[in-house]
Amino acid sequence: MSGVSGVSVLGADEPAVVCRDLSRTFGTGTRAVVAVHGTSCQVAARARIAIVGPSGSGKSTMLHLMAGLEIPTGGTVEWPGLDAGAAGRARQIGVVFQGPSLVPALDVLENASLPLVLAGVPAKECRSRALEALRLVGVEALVHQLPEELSGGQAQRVALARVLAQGPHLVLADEPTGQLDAVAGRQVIDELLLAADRLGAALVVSTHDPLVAERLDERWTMHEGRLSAAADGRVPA
Amino acid sequence: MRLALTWTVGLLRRRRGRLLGVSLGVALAVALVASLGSFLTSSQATMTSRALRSVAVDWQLQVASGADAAAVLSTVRTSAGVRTAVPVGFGTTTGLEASAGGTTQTTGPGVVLGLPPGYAESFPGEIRLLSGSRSGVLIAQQTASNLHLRPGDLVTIGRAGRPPAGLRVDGVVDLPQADSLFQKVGAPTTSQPSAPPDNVVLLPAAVFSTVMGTSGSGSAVAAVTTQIHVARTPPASSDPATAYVDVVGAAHNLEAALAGAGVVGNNVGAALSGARADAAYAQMLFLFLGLPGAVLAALLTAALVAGGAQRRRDEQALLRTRGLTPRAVAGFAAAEAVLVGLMGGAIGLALAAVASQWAFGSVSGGAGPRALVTWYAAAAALGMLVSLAVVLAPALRDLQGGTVAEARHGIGRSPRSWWMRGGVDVLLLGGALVVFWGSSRDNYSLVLAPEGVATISVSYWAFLGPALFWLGAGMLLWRVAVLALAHGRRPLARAVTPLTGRLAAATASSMVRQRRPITRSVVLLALAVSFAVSTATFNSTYQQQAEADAQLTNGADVTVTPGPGLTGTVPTVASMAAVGGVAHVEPIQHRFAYVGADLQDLYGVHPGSIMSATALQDAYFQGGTAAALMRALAARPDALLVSDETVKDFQLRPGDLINLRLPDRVTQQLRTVPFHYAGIVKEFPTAPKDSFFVANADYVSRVTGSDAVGAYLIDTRSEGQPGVADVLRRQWGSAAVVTDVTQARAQVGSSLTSVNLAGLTRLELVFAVLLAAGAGGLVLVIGLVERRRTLAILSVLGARRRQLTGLVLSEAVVVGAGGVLGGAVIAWVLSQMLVKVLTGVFDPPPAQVAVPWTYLGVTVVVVVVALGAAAVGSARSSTRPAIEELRDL
Repeated sequence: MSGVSGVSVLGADEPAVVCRDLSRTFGTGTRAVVAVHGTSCQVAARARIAIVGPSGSGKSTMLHLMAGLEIPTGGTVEWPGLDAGAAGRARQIGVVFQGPSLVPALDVLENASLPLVLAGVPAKECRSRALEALRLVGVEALVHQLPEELSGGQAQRVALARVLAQGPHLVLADEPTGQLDAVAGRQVIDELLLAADRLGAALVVSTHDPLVAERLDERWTMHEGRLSAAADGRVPA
Repeated sequence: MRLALTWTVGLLRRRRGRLLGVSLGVALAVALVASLGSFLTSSQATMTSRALRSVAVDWQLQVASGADAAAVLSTVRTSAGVRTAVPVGFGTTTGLEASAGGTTQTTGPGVVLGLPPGYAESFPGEIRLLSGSRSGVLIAQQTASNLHLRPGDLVTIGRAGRPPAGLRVDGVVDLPQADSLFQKVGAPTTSQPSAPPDNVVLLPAAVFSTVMGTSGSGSAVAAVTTQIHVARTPPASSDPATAYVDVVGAAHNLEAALAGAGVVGNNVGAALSGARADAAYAQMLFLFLGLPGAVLAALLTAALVAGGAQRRRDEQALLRTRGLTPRAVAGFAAAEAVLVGLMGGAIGLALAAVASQWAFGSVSGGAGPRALVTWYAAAAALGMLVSLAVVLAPALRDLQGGTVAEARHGIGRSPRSWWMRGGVDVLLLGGALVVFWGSSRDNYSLVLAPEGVATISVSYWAFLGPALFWLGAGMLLWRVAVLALAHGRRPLARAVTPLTGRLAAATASSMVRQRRPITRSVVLLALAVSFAVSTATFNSTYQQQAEADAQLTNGADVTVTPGPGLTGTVPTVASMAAVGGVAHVEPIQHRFAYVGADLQDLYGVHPGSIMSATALQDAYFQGGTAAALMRALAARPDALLVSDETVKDFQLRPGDLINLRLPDRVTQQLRTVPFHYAGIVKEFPTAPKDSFFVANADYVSRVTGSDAVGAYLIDTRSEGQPGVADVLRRQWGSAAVVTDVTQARAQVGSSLTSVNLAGLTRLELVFAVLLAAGAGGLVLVIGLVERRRTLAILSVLGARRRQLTGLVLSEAVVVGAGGVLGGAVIAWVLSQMLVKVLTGVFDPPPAQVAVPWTYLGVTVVVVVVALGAAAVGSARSSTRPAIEELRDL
């Protein structure tokens, strides 16, 4: 499998993320909302998983917990194949958000190279890797544009290029097509799958769109904060 | 309406921080105007009361020759507003003579006054007892000195065509208001005598009648004139200009009633005339020093509102997509503006009350209830206007503007502003230069209050010079900052590397594209710093000159003036120097010397040490600095400093010989002493306003055989003057008059510098620091709050907290450095302009501005702390889980 230059690949026998009895509650007392409820699951290396479910079912929170962006109120999350430190781990997990996630004051090239800059990659290499990633998602012509000058699809592709340039072992995409039309959405999913393949990374996509879910190998269902048996009959963990 | 109410309640619940921030900006403007305005009113009232207190006799009515004095007196007493009216006789003497110690002294012609019983009590400011009895035959201090007279001695009064009359002296007195007492009533200023008479005797009315022969007939009676001295009830108005018009009108009314039988010498009118000019200056000070603060507070509020412009546009777009009409959305913005105006007004007025209590000792700052309510209402209305301008106007502009997408363009590639293309900043600076040139010429006067004319003229347009410069310099700084940020990416990246490390290039790029909000913060901070610094420098210079004026009047921190004809043991210089708090004791001589037929004061000083006791400003001299002329006196003992008038009268050139006649201690006769003209002295501590000499004390002692001291100037390092004066009073008893500079400050009369501006200065400086801190910290905080998304994204991508803090600090450093440096440059020029344009406010004019370094240091520290706190506070928010930040935005 070919990856993006300068990117290492997670070992096939190491799971990307392991969740045990994971819970996340917002608020306290009578106003407490349980977003994720006692969930256990394991994402294998190079897995292609869709988490499906209606709005408010806890998909995004589950993804954020897997990314380490959300602190669980119960249970544990482990990333056996990734760096132990939070900053190092953050660079090995690529997150694509539903909404705008580009730094408004940086242009497309600077946004795409940002994870590499933070990782201490030399400036020249940052630039070449970011340009390569932008070319792979087809937005190399926009390198000097600012985020506010991009369409929703273009912005999502740049976010994807940023993940690609980062070269993570685990890609987590939260409703990546939620704000796009059907054509743009399909293109983004194509590029997401292609990127995961190139990186040799595990890919987890949360979506309420069955067409998107169909494109992935596994489909897990979230309902009222609980991860239940997958649509194809397999259990997540 | 209901929707607007729901919207407003929602704002109060969910946008409390922003609403409070904007309201505080409005509150600063309201508080500044309310507190300064009420102080302005009270200071005008203070000027009026000081002017009234400075006058010993309100009116001196000259009874016309041949008119019935008793009838005139009766008319005066029935005139409205007259509290006391008494007749005073004015006669002349051919000369006075006295014998002491076997020698006889004589003087030239003089004046004899006839005072009715109780005169000294009715007009207490006119006569000051120095020694002997307050009643009976009194003799003026200078006359007593010329004749070596003491209470109990005999004086002979020469009478034209009659034998001289001998009288025993009961007391020696000072006539503090001799200029007005001996004025030529009804004559224009140019025809008034240049100095009061040297020889004056004051007699009880009955004695006067006998001595001057007013009970008889003939030429002697004809030589005697009568004045009616009048004390009036204080004018109803506390405004000097209104009080002046009332008093002048009343005088004209009386003159009309007398139908030519008398002319009024309106002393109180003259004093109020000076006070109304001072009041106009105070108004100008308010305009120069208060208004920029209010403008700055409004700009700060506008910047705070602009910080949330994006959110407002998004909300407006959302409301419109939900079907609300532009009018309904505008209604929401109006409701928000009114809410901010009300909150800002309420907080501002409360702040003004607290600030006035702290600065002036009372909530009203000394203003009456009516003036207070007027100023507070005006300030609240101004607050509402500011709120409408900064909250409602931008919202309406957005509603009228193009699409939401267009409005979102706030970063990076914005075109140059219209004013940059038109060079408005350069035009404003050019305009400032032209106006400043016009208003700072030597013959230019900011306030014109011609004597006898009811209206005064104030050149408000002079305000335009500094105002245009302030605005122009702010805009020029904007242009420079934008250019520097746009083209300085690499140096900027290098500069922020120590703070942000790997993120330096990205930080520099971000700042280059955020140059508009950053520049806005820089310019706002620079304007606030320049306001703080120029206000402080002006106030400091003002205080310096007020102190110089008080020192000039009193002589030094404390002055001991031994009484005439002092005998027996008196405290020595060493014993006075031993008093706690005394840093230096400087004896100076005081003599009277004739130049030709003109009698003038002569001060003998020790040129090597005089400057250790009192501040000799360069402005007091002409032909050299104070230090240079003192060196000239030291180098050539017979050097003499003379008045400008004497130089003109005697056609003197440097080095010319001047022969003065000075009293010799041994012969008790005048002897001719040669001096050489070395320079011009215009003012000197303890010296009168008219002509006088300054000479080397050692030379004067040698040639006159007397080292008698006229006064001791005592330096206390400007601290504890009243306490030192009290100890010295106990040391000297009744043998000397001891005065301190704090008394002098209260006696300077209605001059503007005599108004204690300590409270006003404190208030202004605190507001200035608050504005500087607000401009630095609050604007940065608001800007960074808007960039929380950036920090959250960086955090998600693996940025460490140190890097995020560095990114925020980089912005703070750029804003701080640009703002403080830009502000310092603007302030330096502005201070020079203010001091030059407002020269009329200073007495004496300053040779150079006084820079309050401590205050400037405090201002810079406060700005740095505000910026640091804002940056650290914003960086701390990055410790929240990034996803929570992203979710909240």
